Amino acid sequence: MSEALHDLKMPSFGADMAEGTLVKWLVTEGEKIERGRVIAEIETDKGIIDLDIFENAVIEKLLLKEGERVAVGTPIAKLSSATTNSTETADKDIPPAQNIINDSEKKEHKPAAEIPTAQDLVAAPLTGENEFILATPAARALANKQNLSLHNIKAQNSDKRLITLAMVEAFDKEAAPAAREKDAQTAAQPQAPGKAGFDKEAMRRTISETVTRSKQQIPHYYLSQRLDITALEHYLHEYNGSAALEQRILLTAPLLCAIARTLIKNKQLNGLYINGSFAPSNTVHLANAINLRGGGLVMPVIRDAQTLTAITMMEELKGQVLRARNASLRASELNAASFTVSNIGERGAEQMFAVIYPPQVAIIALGSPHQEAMIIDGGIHIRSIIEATLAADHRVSDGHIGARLLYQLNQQLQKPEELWTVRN
Amino acid sequence: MTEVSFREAFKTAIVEALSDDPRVFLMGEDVGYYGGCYAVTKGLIDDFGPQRIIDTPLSESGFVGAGIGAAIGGMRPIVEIMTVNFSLLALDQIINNAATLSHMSGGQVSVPLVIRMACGAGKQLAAQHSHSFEGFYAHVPGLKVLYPGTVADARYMLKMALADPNPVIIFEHVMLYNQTGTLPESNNIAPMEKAVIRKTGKDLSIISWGGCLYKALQAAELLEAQGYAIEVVDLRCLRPLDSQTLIDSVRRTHKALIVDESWKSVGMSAEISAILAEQALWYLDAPVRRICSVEVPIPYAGHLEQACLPQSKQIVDIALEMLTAPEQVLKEEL
Repeated sequence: MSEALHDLKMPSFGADMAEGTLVKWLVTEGEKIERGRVIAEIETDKGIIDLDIFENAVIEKLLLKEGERVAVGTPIAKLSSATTNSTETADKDIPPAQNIINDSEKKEHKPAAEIPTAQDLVAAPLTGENEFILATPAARALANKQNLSLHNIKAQNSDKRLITLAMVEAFDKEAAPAAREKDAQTAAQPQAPGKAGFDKEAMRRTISETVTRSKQQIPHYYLSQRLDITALEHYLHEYNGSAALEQRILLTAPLLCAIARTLIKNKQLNGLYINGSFAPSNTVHLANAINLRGGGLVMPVIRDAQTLTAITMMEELKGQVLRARNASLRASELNAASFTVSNIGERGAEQMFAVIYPPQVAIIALGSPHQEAMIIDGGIHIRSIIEATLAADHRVSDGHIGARLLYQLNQQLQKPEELWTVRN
Repeated sequence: MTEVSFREAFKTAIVEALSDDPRVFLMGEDVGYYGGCYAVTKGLIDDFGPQRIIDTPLSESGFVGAGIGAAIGGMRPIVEIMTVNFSLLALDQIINNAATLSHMSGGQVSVPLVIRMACGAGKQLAAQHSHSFEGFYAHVPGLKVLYPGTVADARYMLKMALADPNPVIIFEHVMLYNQTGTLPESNNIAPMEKAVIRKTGKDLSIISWGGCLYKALQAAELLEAQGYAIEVVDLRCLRPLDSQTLIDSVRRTHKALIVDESWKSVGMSAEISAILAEQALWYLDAPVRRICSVEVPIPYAGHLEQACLPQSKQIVDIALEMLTAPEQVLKEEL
């Protein structure tokens, strides 16, 4: 069963993460673990993240010591997908039939084994996840040396069948200096492995770097739209009136559902822009910016958000907010967002212009809900309003696309009952 | 600086060797009274006499064997074989005796023999007088294989070969004899076992030797006119092969084009490609390409013979493909 042995790699909790520190192992060698189990604590600039895994497996070997800091993609443990035995006892005692069962189980678990990174998201629509990228050995060697992804270089040279050394050199010249400088800065920061909770200074630094890069590189355009949430509020009020306390739903949940469902129809706003090329995402991984008490913010990701209902979305949110404030977010929650929503909350300003989180290409900021007098059919009506402001990357989309998204979003909110059922 | 032909350069080297060292003598078919079938040794019998310029019977195995015996006995024989195709008759002597004796005697017996062979195509001598078998000999441990491609090497390599305690084979391409080149004043050439960069450039390395070297240099100039900086590596010595120089060159230019007048299959060009694959793979930015002779016995008809051989234009065309569209060779796979 040695073919089932594979590496668990240091995951990326976001495009701006280059390294992670293994703070603590929560498993031991030889231990059998189940899908979803949190196996380690990893510290990044965003804080301590719980690393959960996506398969049933046996921990064959832990490759990192606690406190060790390694680059994203470095193997940190060896897992075997075998569900019954560790490799030491595997071969002799198991009758052949059981081997076959194990093999089929292995296959089932395999697709979930890899946590997709932001880069995978970009590459997937262009080349397929496992496609071998044709590159000359010299090109491959330089990309490897400079730690550049061939997928990204391919994306920039999508008209070429073969990546040559010149393409890697050009890419390295354009794209890499900024990234390297950043890596150097990050590496130069004193690290405090083992410290629980969020490192506020590091977080501030990360936010500062990210928004600066965004504002310098992304030509933002902004569109605002008043979302009429009167109907939604009514529906929500009725729903919550008949629900048990712990099953009540906050306004955010159906709002996020509506945004995700509208986004899936507007692909130019949902995806990643890397190295001069935009790759739309086939699903909505919605980052939900959460303010932390005491400053800073984290952006856990709600995966495949367009498939959720207001009820399942609420469950996701409750767990996430709690884990974010306890600094125990899971690895799978910080990965590969394709779009971000920033919600100012009930007591905030009416309107907010958000900064796009690269390599995403758009962000929606929701102002605080309030009442306004609106003229409808020639009459003045009091309506509940949220001002939604879209900031989008003008390199990828134009104003009318953004306007269409906001229009469709407002339309969706007029049919709140749809948000309580699975979208077909 | 004097302008000399390869023929003059080879002859001057032999005259120098005969004059400098009484142990040196020359033997071969028609080297004496006839003056050598390519006239390299013309007149030597008058100057040095039939004791040192020996006409042999048409028996390659016999006179190469005699040369080996003389070398073991303390002489420094230069054996001329009229053309490389005939040397096949002496393979047993060359490979089973000359190349092995030092090893089999634990170093007690050395064979300081030099064998000169005319080789190569272009003179319409057909399939039994035109081939390039340097790869055969370069395959054999115990031999050293030289293939001068410049007049300076033609002039000065013989002395180095005679000074070597091992059997050394020197190939002389028949199309070079009448070509002229500038002979430098100084005899200070690179050691015979070193490859030499004849022209430096950063875009592509053409690797060649002997009779194809001038074609490679011509092609490099044509490419230069189009704005490319081509490096030309002259291997000079095929055994031992100076792989470091050619690897270093390819590490700089990232592209290698081998021009070899012998056949492509299982030959020198294959060996060089393998070395690059083993030791320079990560530096390659395009597949290694080879220009070799068409895999037929060299034809007699002039136009067919030329069609079989590597030509400068062909080198330019393939080099341009490598420089501008390295994915060309992937066409069928993609």
